[in-house]
Amino acid sequence: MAVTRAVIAMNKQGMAPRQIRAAIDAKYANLIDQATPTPYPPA
Amino acid sequence: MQSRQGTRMVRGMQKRRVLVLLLAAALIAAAVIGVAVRHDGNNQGSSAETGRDFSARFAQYKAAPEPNGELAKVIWPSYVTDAGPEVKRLYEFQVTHGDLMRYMPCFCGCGNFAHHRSNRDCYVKEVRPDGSVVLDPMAPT
Repeated sequence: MAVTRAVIAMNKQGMAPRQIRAAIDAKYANLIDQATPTPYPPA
Repeated sequence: MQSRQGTRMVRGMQKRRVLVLLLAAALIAAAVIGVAVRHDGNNQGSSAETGRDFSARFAQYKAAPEPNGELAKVIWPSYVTDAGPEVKRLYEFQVTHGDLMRYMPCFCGCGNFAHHRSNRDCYVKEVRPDGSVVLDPMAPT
């Protein structure tokens, strides 16, 4: 649920979807091997 | 003699002052350019701040279709209502932001054991054509 919380907060700040995704991946970089097969938003 | 020495000393001090001013100006210019470059990198949405960009790692995948549901048509299960208002707020966001959440990952391992394709799959199992929603209990459990 922490990911959703973080996405909501960043979305509220007006960050672009690709920025949000990059920030999420950076935050959970140590778990990146467990990530779902989810592509990045289009640039 | 003393007068000439005095003049040389004054000129030397003036030169030093000019050099110090030039050095300070160069440092300020470098700092301003550095901030501008970092700011531009953030706008591009890369992981430049960490020095790691993971986008290529996920480029082979295709985003799952995740239509938005209608909150008015959601029948809230007890595993959401019992978990409190904050959990319900997260579910509500997921229901109404399929277009964003289809691009957000989950790191709990559900991609392997439950074949989830995005973070939204831990919350929303299905959005029916009429806008009603079948929720997934994985998120709060």
